[in-house]
Amino acid sequence: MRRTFRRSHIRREKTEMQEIISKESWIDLIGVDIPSQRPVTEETVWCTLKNASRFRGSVRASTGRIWTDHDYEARRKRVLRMRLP
Amino acid sequence: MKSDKWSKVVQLHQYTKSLILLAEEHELEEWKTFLHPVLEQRDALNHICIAIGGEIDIPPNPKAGYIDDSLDKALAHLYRAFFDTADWIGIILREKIIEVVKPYDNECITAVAPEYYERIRPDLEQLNSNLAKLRNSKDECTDSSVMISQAENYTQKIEKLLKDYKLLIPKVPALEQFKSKQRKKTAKKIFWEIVIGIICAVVGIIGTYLLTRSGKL
Repeated sequence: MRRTFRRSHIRREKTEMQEIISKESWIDLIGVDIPSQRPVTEETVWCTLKNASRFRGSVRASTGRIWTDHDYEARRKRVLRMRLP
Repeated sequence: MKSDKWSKVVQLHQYTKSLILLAEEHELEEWKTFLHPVLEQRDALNHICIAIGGEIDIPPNPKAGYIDDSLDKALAHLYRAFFDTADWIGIILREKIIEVVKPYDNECITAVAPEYYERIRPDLEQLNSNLAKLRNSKDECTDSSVMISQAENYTQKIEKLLKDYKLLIPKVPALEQFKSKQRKKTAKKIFWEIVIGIICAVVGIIGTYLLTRSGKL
């Protein structure tokens, strides 16, 4: 599952990159969307922690306190399954 | 038309921002943050800059509808950010309210915090199910007026539930007191049931003994 996800993302990124490289000036890039949102995974958290000293931003993010998509959905399901008394 | 869309962009952003701040404050698990709304806001920022660029002629001579289209895209991203955040805080609220009322039974909650069954529980159930539905269909809404009215409505609902949660917290000592009273009452009841049982058994045994002695049995 994870492998397929990665491959499709790499393919999409390559297309986006080719589109960006084909433009000649920054004016041509004004209408181009920012690269699409990738899923937040354990790897994202690990990379954020690893590079925390290199960027300024949210303390929560730089200390790796981020909900990954998988964990968030698991928590969401767990909480919604809990019956209210 | 344009200024109307700008005001909607600002309103949606402010609703989302207020909910992000509340969600981060109330988050139970290790003060974790949820990146999706922020990533949607990043995309919205791109479209807002494109729209502003259209107003100040960057790039020169923009096409007709250039600004409106960009603002529509920005609104769509902000709307997604809003519902991701609303869903997040909805989950946090449910978890927190369950944590408060879970140790107590229906009788205890009804006696001490009647508003829980009257208002809080139905509101919470409705909020969670509606947010789940809206979160799944958030890409379908294209009418910006509907977006704003929904965002306003859900922000109010969430703020009301947060107020109710804050009213529920001071009732925990009373709930505990009621629970211990209930326990004592149950213990007393069990004690008297045992005593009555023993008395009945003793009376039965003595009665049988006396009847056997008098020769009637």
